[in-house]
Amino acid sequence: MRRGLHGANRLGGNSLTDLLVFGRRAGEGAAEYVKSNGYSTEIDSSQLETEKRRVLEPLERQDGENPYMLQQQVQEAMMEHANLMRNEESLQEGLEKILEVKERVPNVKAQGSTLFNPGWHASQDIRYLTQISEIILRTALERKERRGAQWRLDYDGPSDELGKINFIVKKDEQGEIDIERREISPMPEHLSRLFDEGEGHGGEEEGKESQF
Amino acid sequence: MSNEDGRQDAEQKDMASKAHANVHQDETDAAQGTTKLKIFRGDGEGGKEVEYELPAVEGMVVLDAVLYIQAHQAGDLAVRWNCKAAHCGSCSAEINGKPKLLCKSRVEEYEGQEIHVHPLRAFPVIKDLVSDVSWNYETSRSITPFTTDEQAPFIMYEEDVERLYEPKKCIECFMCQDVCHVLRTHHKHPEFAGPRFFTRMQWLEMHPKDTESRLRGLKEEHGLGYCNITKCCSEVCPVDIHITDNSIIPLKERVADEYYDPAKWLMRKIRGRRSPKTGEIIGRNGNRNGG
Repeated sequence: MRRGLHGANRLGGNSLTDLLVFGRRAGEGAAEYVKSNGYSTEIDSSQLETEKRRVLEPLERQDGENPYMLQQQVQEAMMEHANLMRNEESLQEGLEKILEVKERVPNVKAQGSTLFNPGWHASQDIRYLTQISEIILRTALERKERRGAQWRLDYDGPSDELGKINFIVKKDEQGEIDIERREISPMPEHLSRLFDEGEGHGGEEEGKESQF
Repeated sequence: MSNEDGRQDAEQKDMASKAHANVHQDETDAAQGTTKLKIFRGDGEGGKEVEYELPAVEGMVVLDAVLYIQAHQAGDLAVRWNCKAAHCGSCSAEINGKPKLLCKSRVEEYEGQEIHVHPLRAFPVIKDLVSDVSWNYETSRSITPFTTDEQAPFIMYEEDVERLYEPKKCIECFMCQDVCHVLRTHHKHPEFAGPRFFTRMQWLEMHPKDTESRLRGLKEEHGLGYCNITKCCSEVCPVDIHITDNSIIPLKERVADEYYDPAKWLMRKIRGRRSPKTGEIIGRNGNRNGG
């Protein structure tokens, strides 16, 4: 988490530019990949049926959880525990709250029809909201250092060792979150010298300028 | 942590929750009485107003009230919204018959009155408070986009640049389109672009580096002449663009200069037509408008 073009600083405005540039590239790349590999666009109709049933279930269920209330609980937990300033204990507490909501997600109930129905949409969103919240909390717990917007109060600063590692999040066989530690390839010289700030390459003056 | 810090912390949390979320339980606990809203429930086929009662919270905007109702009483109540900060232009609807951003209209403003919330009426209703505004996007596509033969970054006079700030403030809430009687009452949708797009075309026409002219389009396809400058659009603009004075009237003047000024018409007969943008002669007795 919290890497990419903008390094450890990946707040709202940055992520918007990121998604405009890299979202587009990812989309184009995915289309290219599919075309060049000769994958068929035929879809297994039984998979389609399963997915359709899952999506429609909240409307058909007689009774169940209010998706707006679950959404609110996720918002509150994340505001309190996954804010800029965080520590292990609070992150852990946040994770427990999110896991508790996750248990209740399969039982959401939406009223009304499929026409422009925000409650039905919320009943789909909540699944992804809890998933991404869990990912944020688990990787924040795993990153035992203070770096950029990960302001861990229980660590003094960035760790050299973790600075070389990206966390890649995948689904494991049970569909649960699996965090892989992947070594980052060393920064090319023409970039790394920009980080030397005042020492070595470029001399003191250039280093000062680069801080602004 | 001192008491002082603790209090500040609690205050900050309180502020954060107000800025980021729906009306929360802690706020409704502190509610002062109740408030009532009558909301249009229905679709393109028709519908009726339904009354909802909810806890009144100081400073609550109509969107807060609608979202409270959505979360607690009517989960399928359709409303389009995003930023809740009067920047995205998504939550435009009509309160007591006037177009408003739901996120910028306080419930308290309507004290002593009933509050009726309806969708924008100049466009087809999809459901409840959501109208289909896609006609606007089609109209937008019919406008010749910014065209230049120069490579950015441009060097321009400051006063030319400053003139472009105002039309660029538009957030595309389409409330000016909703209130305009040419669209709302006379349904001139196919032949009248509406105030929003006159503002857009003003920006394009006044851009010093744009080389196109849209005057003919304004006159013939986009129905600029239908506007009888009642200024209703300027009144409802949430970002205070003086649409009539600064967009529509200057465009009307340019169209009049180009097509209806007898002195200019005569000069064109004698000296040939010049491009209104570049001043280049583009043909003698230039006949693009039959004039």
